Amino acid sequence: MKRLAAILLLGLIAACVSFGVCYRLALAPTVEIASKSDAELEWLRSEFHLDATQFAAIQKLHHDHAPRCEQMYRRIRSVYERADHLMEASHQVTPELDQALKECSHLDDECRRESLRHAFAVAAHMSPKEGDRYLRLMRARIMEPGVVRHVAAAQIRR
Amino acid sequence: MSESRSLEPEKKSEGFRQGAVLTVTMNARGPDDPADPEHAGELSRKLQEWRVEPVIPADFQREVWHRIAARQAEPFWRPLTAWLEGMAARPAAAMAFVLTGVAAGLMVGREKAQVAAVESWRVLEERYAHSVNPASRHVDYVNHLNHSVE
Repeated sequence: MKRLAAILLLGLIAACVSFGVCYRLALAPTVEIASKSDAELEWLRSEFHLDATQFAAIQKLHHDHAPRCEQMYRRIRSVYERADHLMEASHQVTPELDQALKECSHLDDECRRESLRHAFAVAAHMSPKEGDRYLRLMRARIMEPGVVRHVAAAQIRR
Repeated sequence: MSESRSLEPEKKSEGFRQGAVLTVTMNARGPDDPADPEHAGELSRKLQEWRVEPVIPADFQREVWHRIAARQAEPFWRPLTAWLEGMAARPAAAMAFVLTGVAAGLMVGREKAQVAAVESWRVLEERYAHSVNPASRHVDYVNHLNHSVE
């Protein structure tokens, strides 16, 4: 009985150790990418197979776009919050609410335009095949961000 | 020179008691010496007369039922543990068990790592989308508010 228990324990330990080693090794590339400061750009490099030149150009575009993106996000949030407050304050479409809704639409359009412009610029630095795949992903995310937010790049193939 | 050997069957085997005892006296000059053609006939005659009559003990039936009852009273896992103990005594089987554990660990580890990698990849993709599309980030913010209201 002791021998049997020892062998069962040994088998269990062997299984745990091999599980741990395999898990860490298989997940290492993803963990390495996720731990970098520009993890999202590293994801882009890996997902769309960018070489060093392509990556450097896209990285520059990304960093140039980031402040504008941040500014636009603040504007969107501010306008939507104002519209939300107005809707709470009055259960009618007041001229102020009407104006706020127009601003929301205007900002949405501006945001789409800006994001699409950036996406086209990024895709231009990729190989045609990868650029096409990137644009399919970004088009979906830019045009309907709330609907397709669950769509993974890996699902958009060829 | 004389040699005496007692051929006694097992005293008890599966409930049967065999009561026959044969004593053969091996004597190079004796009447049972098989090499002696004069006495070969006598040996053959003795062998032909020899009869083994198995004696069934009086408590045979009771013992059989006792064993059946004992077997039925055993827990259902007893045969399994007995088999495992038997296997554990064999080094090859023990090694096979450990290797099976290693293989199972590798397979499950790989599977779990793939699931975790897919999820991490999805999060990174989400982060990228947020970094280039403010509307996507705003939608997440609104979803967050909706969840907090719920």
